[in-house]
Amino acid sequence: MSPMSNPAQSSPGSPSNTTRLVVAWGLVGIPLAYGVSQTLQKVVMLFGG
Amino acid sequence: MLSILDRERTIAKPGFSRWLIPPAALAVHLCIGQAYATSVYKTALVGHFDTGLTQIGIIFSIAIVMLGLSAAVGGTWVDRNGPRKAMALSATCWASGFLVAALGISTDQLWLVYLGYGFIGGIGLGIGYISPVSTLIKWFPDRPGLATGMAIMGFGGGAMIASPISSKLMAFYDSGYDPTDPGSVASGSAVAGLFVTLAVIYFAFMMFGAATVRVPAEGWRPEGFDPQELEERKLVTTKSVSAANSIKTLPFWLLWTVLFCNVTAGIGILEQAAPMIQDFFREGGDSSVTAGVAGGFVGLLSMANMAGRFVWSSTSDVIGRKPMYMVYLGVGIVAYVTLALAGSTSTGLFVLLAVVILSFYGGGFSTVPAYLRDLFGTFEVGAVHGRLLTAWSAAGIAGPLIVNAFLDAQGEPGTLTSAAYRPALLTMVGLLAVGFVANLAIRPVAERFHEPVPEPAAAGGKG
Repeated sequence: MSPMSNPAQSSPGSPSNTTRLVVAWGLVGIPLAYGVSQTLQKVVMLFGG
Repeated sequence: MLSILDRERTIAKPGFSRWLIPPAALAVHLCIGQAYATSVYKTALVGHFDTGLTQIGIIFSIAIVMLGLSAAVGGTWVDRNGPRKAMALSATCWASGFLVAALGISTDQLWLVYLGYGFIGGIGLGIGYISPVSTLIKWFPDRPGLATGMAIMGFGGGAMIASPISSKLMAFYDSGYDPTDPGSVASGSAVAGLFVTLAVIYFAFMMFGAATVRVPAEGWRPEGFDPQELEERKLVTTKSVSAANSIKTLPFWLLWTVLFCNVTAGIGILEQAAPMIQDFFREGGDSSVTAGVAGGFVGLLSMANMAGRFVWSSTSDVIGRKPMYMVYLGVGIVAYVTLALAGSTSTGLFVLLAVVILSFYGGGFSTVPAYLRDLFGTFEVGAVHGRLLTAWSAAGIAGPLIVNAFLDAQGEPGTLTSAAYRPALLTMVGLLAVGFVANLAIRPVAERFHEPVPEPAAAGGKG
């Protein structure tokens, strides 16, 4: 059975997709990275920092 | 105008990248994960309403109960109406819940906070939690554990973002409040201001998720993925079981038991983390672990909880769901027994065991949607997941009850020693053993519960 029924085939290489991917991942990744860094600062205390 | 929220309007056009779906899901889960950051303003609300911690704790309890109920009741609606409408509803409930709660604080009416954050916000939590799950599973049939792990990791990460931001916002609204001073308490109006701000930010962020999300077109599958491969795996079905039928099956209730036991055991540690590490290393009334170090320990557990959601769920794609839960529960038993009997011998050992246990706790949450997909198919997996989450609500009540009942009999947390925790920890071992057996007993769903397969279309039908 061939995968011919792929009307929404991913093509992550296209420029518009790349921009959308960078923006979308940036919007969620930056706050998450902030939260992780804040937590890591507390964790340092555990190791005597 | 609201038709833009309809499922039909969210069908992906050719060229759409499926890697846009995880950030859409994360946008929702990172916001509703705030539910685990309530401790930041708990003391401020106790002072503002001149009441006890129990009365304020009820706000969170209502929210978690509503999470389970709305996920169970609304799951079928979510599956039928699609992720965009569900995310928009979740954003509306979550944000308006904050606004109603802010009104309650401003007018000194605690019941409005119960209604707002607890009841209305709780519905936003439940619908938001399940809204992207079935969509992710459909976009990632080849790696469902990785996909749901990424989204549900956001629920763990949400508190990490909300906690420091809430402290800073309360300091902004109340100049007399110093978040670095443990004795400083923010005013009620600062919490009300925080709630209004969070409502605006969360609504915008969650609506970004709703705008981004898409469902795959009928018949779509990722390049190189052959559904026939799934049929070769013993516990993975390509058949469909409806949500209504799923709860009539033994595998559903066995998995409910697995989730309940795994979550109850994890909550036992999570709830008591800071006093627990201090109590384990107490000699002659004084603990060798300072409050700052205990805070670091709590932070490390949050990281383990979040990382476990991603790492273990992704691992389950490789080793299979049943073996993964055998690890969570079996290795969990060993970790709990070691913690109970030898945890006080070394801080490093104690921390390591707690990290392992919390990573399994998080992994248990994020692996379960993929396990459901394996057993019941993708047909109404969101609705089945919603029904299964009642196990979380039940564990949210049972876990703290078990631990508190044992500890209350021994004295006050913060003055205990490691021996006082032994009965509670060994009870958790028993629970994990029950979960282990339940997981072993899981078998494929009986054929009589499968949805009828439509007659094959006439030759020349759409390809």
